[in-house]
Amino acid sequence: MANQTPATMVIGLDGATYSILDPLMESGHMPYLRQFSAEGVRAELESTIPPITPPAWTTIMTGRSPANHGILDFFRPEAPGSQFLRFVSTKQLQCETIWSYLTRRQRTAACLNFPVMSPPIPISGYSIPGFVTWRHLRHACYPRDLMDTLKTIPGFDLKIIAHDFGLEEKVLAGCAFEEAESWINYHTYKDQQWVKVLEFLSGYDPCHVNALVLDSIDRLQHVFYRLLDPAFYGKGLSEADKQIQSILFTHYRALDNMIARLAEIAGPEGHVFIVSDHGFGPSQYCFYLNSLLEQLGYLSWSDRAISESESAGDVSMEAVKNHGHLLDWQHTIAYVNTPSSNGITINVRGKNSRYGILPEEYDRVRNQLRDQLMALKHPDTGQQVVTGIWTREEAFGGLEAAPDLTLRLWDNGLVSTLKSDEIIKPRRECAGVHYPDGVFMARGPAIRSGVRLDPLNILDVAPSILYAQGLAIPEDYEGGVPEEMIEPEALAANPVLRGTATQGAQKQAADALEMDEADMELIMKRLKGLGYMS
Amino acid sequence: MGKPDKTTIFNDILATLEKVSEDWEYSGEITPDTFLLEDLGLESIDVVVLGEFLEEHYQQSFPFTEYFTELAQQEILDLRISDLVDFIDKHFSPQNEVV
Ligand SMILES: [Zn+2]
Repeated sequence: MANQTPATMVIGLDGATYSILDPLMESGHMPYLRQFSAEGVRAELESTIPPITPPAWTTIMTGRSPANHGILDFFRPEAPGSQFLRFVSTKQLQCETIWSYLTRRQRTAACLNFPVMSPPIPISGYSIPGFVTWRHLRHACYPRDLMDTLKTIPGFDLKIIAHDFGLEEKVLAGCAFEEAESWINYHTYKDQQWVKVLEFLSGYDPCHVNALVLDSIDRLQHVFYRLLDPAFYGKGLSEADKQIQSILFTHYRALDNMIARLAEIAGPEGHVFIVSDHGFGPSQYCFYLNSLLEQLGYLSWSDRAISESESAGDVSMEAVKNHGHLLDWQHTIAYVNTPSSNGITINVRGKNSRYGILPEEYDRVRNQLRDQLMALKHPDTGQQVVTGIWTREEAFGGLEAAPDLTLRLWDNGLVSTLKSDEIIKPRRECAGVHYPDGVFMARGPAIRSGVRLDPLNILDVAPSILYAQGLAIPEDYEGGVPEEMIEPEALAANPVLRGTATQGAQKQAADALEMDEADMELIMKRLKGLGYMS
Repeated sequence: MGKPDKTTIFNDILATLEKVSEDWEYSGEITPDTFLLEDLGLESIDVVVLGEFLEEHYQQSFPFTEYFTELAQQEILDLRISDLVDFIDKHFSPQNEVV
């Protein structure tokens, strides 16, 4: 290592929430996490608006809000103004990642299974992105030959660490008991494979910062939230549900072991952070927002749209693929384009559509729609359905690509884009959805012990990682280091410093490789050691 | 870049497949009649990523999602390499920058 700063480990637990982790710690299923939490600090971690995976992890990776880093959703329009969608990628990323920043500060990093990290950005270290299928994973890794190195790990399984879109979609649509069991086991195995990759890299070529996202619990909680939160299962379970619950508990125990192993890699001098991109909670209903927009006269379905019996309520490629043809664009003013953003787009003639309203009508129409949505009452409970609503300016600093309105629902659920006869329908079974409050835990020599902090914001994660590496915090970072988590003596010895701003995304790839000669020599030596160069 | 003819596009697709398919479990000869899903075993998301490699090669964007949506609407669930060649030929227009 060029720099002798102790290692930092960032354990990303996609969708981790205290409403599930606390009971598991108390009941003895996660003894290591319990110990970790007692020895370090913990806080709730407020996610991005909306609290969804790609923007939230990108905020963790950049220290910037979605308005600045430009990742707003799982999807982006295929072309400006197009209703056809593709997955977001590094090409939409507007800010420098911490991996690139660390590279410029003579630190190495391994970032594993983070969304939005493909195509790869060259860094001093290793990058293997999440949400990439096994057929394309090789070319999404950095360095380019990393896959060949990984294949030397005994038992390495490329297909397991990659994302299986078909499988995840199928399960979200509902699954039988046998399928549930093998699906949970698949996720245990997948997480273990990722840990194995990080273990391998840390032995082979230790990095200053190791960061790994384990995404199993997000997937499992979407389907099985009701079996994991005692507020639900406390009311009694069927025998079949009890069996699934016991398999789920086994998974969380395995996860606890993985967290222990990862923390061990950081060593006694290192700092360990456990963070989630958002929390989780129950959702009993499905809200068909496009159908509401039709009722209110903003949207018209094409004759290809048929009423759905139930929406999976999540990111389904199928729904997205067909979406463009479900609407009669000539007669649609406002619509929800993706099943993952809770965002409404307003068609403005000559701006983002050939049809729609005139530019001068925009403010009036948007205000009217906002008022109508805020007035909506739940048919069963009478409570307000839309509990928060943000304009493009409020949520995303006016960013052109952002939705005109972004909604928070009474149950934090995601809206369905599909056609339905009823606007709000009970789900067959309670589902898990993203809640804004995730988790933040930290432990290490400079971290206070056994302290519960006031809630933090997800913007505070990147500065905390840089502080643990002894680095100044770029002045354009929007959060800060929570000083209350640091031992007073350590803080006095190493005060939080603000430094120069990060560089734009375009420069980061070029600059990452443009290092001074000493660094270059070192990297060459490392690459040689790895067998990349002769 | 001048507009390539269909033979050149076919060869470009072959070269792209060659570049990205190292881990794929397919060893047969690829012809214009090879189906991407049935023969090469791709999933629809893989085809979009393959499309992005082609966009990089041609330095322009193509409306791949729109095309696949159109096919799905016609209940066409697979496409041949030659369909992809025709699609690229039809939409070749270097002023459509990659987004
Ligand atoms: Zn997530």
